[in-house]
Amino acid sequence: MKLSKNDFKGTGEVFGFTLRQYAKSRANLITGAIMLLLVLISMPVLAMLQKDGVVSLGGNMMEDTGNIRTVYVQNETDLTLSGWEGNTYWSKTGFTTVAAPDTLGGKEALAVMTSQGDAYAISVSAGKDSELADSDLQRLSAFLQQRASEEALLRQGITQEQLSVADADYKISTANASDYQALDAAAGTDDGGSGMGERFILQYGYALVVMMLCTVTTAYIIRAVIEEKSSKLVELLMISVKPLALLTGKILAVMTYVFVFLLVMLAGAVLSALAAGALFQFSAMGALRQVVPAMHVDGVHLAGVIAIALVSLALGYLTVSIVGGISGACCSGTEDMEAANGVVVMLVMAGYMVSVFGSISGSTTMATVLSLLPLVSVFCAPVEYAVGRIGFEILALSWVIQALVICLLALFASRVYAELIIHRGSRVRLKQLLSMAKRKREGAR
Amino acid sequence: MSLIVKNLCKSYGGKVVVDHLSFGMEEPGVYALLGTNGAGKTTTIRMMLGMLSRDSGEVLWQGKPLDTATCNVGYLAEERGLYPKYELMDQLVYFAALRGVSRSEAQKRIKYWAERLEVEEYLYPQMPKAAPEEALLGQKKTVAFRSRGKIQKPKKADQLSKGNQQKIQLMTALLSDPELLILDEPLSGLDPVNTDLFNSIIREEIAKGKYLIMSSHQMATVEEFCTDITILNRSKAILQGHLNDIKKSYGRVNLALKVERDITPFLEETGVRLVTEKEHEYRLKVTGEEQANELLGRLIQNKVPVITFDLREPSLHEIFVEKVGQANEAE
Repeated sequence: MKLSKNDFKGTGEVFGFTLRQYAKSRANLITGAIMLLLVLISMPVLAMLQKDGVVSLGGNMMEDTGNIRTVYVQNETDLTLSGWEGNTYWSKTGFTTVAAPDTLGGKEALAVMTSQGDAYAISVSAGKDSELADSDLQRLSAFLQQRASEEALLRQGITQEQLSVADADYKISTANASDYQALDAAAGTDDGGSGMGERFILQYGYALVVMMLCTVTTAYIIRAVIEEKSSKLVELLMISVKPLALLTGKILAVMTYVFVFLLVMLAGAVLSALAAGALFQFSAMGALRQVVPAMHVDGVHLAGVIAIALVSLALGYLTVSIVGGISGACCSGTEDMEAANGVVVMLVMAGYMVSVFGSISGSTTMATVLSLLPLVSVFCAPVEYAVGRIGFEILALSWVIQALVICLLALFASRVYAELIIHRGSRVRLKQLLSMAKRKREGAR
Repeated sequence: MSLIVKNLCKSYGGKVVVDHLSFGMEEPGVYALLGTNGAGKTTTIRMMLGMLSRDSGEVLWQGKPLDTATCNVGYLAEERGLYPKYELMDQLVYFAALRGVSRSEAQKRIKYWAERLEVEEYLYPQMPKAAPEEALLGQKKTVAFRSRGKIQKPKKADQLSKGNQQKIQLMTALLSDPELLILDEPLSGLDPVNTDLFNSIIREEIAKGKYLIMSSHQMATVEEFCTDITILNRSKAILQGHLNDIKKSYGRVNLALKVERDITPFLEETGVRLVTEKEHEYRLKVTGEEQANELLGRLIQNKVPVITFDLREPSLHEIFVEKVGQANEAE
């Protein structure tokens, strides 16, 4: 039996109707509105908490511009402090050596630098009615201290290049014995460059999102199939539309609904980030880098990674949703819904576990194999590509394999779905399902 | 011949549910598929419409295999259902779209059938009803009053009674203006008023020259509409043919008699079998016209006033019961 265009006749109508009903559903609208509201306020709230020191994501997520507008520098040392430019944080701050007024403004500070023997002393103060926080003054103090140290070193004949090397960031990591052995073992292989811990976090996070998305959306499909079946509508529908079109229309509608929902949430997140940037000088990219340090991407490339993740997600979704559709059609009533969901959850969990534990391995061969393995690839291929452990050609091959699996599942569905949706009685078991697929269907749609 | 069902067979796990069934319709009219519960009527219909695969046989419409994608078929399934939580109008437009009816045309047809089946109030938003005393104040006042009320939203399927749901389901079958209409137990569960309404619609469809296949347990309805029948019992056709011919073959054996006094002695004399009697209204079984006339002669001779003398062929109900009984005895 081959699939033909005729098998999908009516898909558009089923798709349109299902999508409209999902969009009109009051429960869905309320859920969507609440989620959007949460997304919209998330970044400004995070920025506020970060600013007040309530939360810390382990790095500087604030846009590097200080609150101090003018600093009156009273330099009583022999150091020549100049060249304040080139530092983003202090780019909006004016440093002046003119004498400070009697009364400092709300956003003004006074810095006094003195020599005390071999040492230098820096004193930073604000006015009586200052709007500045202690942290602003501490930061100013640290900055002046750094500039003074640099100036002192330069005066000793150190070059600017040497100073850059001395100032360069370094990273500290600790490991217990087993971690160390694992890292040692992985050292012989060609790792893509990202740290194992970071990669694991990224893999874990992405796989978790995919798992939740797949199980939740497939539950929608299973429910739709079982409800249609138990409402005894199937016979009426089947004279107008082929069973495969009925299933495909539903799957595509749920997919569209979920993807539109995700895009709206993404747009909400962008708006939220913009609002947080405007209100609190909050850098969303900085926050993202703190959360997923293994992803070496900038804003432009992030869009590409998101697009790749969406394609992978769509393919993975199609795979599990066809399984979900068949699983749902095996049931006769809503009381069997849990069992139908169980099949899909089991498959999704298997893919999830393999991908997460597989990511611990530093081997690029393992990364390639897992990226090509159907059901697992949806969880790990985009991540492995994002961290640079597989190339685009492997990613594309994993997509082709997934597309083939989808075609095979669709073919299987076309052989069994018609019989399944008019089946009444106990839940159809795998053995019965396979015999249905083998059976010749003379004269049936 | 327009519709030919040839040698249809179906079995499940060794159990035959339809056994070499053949029938056909040469011209527009109503064909009845009758049978006991589980005789194979619905399975036959499902095979005809391609919902179920068949072990053997074929179904031809205008000389070609019946394909619901190309033949305009309307179907009222035995297992009736609607999406319980979706608006009825959305569902009707959807079902019409699946049958290739455009949205605007579907709206027109829905309006027509909603009026015809008296279900407009469930499909369209309704203005709140004005209180009688307000209405008496004149049209202008009434309109002003109504505009302040809450408009009632169209209904969802689970807000409708079973009978009204059945009307909506009949609408779905009729929306595409089908050339072949298959009604599986169309009148089951309807009250007498709605039964009459459905009957009048079936009559209209027959008058339009449609081909109808009907499965029903309500023999009076089948008798009213159907020209040809097949009686199924345990997967096999036990009686087939033109209804009038079948009836004629039994002869006029049912006598309904209404008189003004007890006639039991005359029945015994003439050998007429009493079926029922209530207040001198007799239902009798005769061997033929000769026996019936002999009884009538005796009554006249003995000056028994005869109010009703109605000699008829057996009803379809009687034929059905007799045939099924015979078939079961033979097995």
